[in-house]
Amino acid sequence: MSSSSSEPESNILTLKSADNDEFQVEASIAVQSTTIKNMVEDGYTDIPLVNISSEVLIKILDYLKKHAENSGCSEEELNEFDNEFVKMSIKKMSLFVYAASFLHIPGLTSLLCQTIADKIKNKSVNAVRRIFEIINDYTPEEEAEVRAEHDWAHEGELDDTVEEDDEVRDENDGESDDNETPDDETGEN
Amino acid sequence: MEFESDNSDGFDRLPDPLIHLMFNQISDIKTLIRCRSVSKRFNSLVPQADSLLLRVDRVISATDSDDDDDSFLIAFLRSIIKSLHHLVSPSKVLPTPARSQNSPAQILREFERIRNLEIELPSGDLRLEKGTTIRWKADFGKTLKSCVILGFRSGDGGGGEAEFGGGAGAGLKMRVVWTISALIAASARHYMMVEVVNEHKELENLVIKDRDDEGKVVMDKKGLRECRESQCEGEEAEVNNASSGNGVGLWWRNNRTTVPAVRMRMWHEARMELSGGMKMVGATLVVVRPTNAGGERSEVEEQNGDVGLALGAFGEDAVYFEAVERLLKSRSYILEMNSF
Repeated sequence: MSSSSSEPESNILTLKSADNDEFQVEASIAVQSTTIKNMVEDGYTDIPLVNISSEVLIKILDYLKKHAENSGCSEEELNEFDNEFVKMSIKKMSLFVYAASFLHIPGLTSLLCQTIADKIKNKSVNAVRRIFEIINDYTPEEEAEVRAEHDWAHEGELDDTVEEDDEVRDENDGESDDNETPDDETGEN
Repeated sequence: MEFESDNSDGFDRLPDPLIHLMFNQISDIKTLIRCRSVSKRFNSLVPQADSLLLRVDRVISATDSDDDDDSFLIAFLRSIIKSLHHLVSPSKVLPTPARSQNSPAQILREFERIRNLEIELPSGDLRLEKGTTIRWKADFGKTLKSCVILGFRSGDGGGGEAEFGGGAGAGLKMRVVWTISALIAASARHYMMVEVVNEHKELENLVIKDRDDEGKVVMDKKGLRECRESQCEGEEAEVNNASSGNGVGLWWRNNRTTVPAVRMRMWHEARMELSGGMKMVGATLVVVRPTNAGGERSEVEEQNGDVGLALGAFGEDAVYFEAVERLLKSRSYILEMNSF
């Protein structure tokens, strides 16, 4: 069977994540990503995505399925889905923005960027740095100079807080390896 | 777009075009300028943002006291309308600012290729009697291209029934005052931005609105080009000679571009109740356009053009759109006015 089928609707693609997991997706859904679309048009059905982890890829595929033309979702349902979708730490979001941009999914990229933009609207410079984990490459003198040039922008009540889930919290990233099972413990003295 | 596959975390590894997109979606200039202090990379990318929103904190008028502002408007209007009751009630006095003011032009100079610019003034420009609402939208190029004005008094205790209810001529004074006030406000906003328009050649879209949603000045690509090419100059308002002693850093409400000789088509209804229950007294719709001096357009074309402008002006607001539709059903009157 030729892999460059002329019936994209029935074409199943295999996407391979950075963790080497494979995911089967209908081409008609996956081509919302222009990157994937180009590969399909070049005849590929195995799509390696070496810089996207399984966790991110799974969620992105959810997004694509929901936003596919034939998903039958109303605008309200899509909005609700999008609102739920972006509920994640900014650190996570940077991974998603990266993936969405690499895959060329404009709607998703835009959604994520807008969410991020809204988050930092009233934040102080320090908060922005912490949220984005950006290294400050200014010397203290240089920074003072830049600030002084625009002191009006730093006036007023700026939010210095960084929300809990925006900080780095790797231990909550879904690892569920239990080294001890209850059975082992009950009988011990 | 190049993607690095190294393992650096955070936003440092996102390519520039993505950060650029994010900055465009932030739009708010104050936030963006603050981001310049975050890192050197941000500092170099912020000036590239091309879709911006500038929220103005406060507007300085040429003179400190509001009394002078009052007399400017009233003196001006007195020259047109003979008997004028005291229409204008003094607004809150603006506090004298402690810090130095940055003009929009100065702030915007930091950005190198602005394409879409939205300016949001803190409030509307008109001081109106309680219960009176005015909404306007003006399109500018080098000079005024069109202005649509909707004015009314709220029908619940807003008063003015006597004024507007007396037949065709009643309330005309008020309607003209509303119209002229809106035109002055619009041309003042236009004048305010001329410097910016001239400095930013890539600007394609400019909107000057206010937080009260009272008025909107719009300049599209063509209009912006026309303004630049003619290097539009403003004229100082007749009565108020705002001397520019304070120079850079202050910008004026009382300097404005000249309003050309115009033709105004006016529709009005003494009383109107909308589908949502809202009652309007003295509801007035005016479409203002420069006089068709060369006579290139026929009467019918003129009227259709005016109707089209009216329907397009307040499309986003269902209530006002309905008011416009209703008003368009009544007879219209033409007034002409000299340039001022």
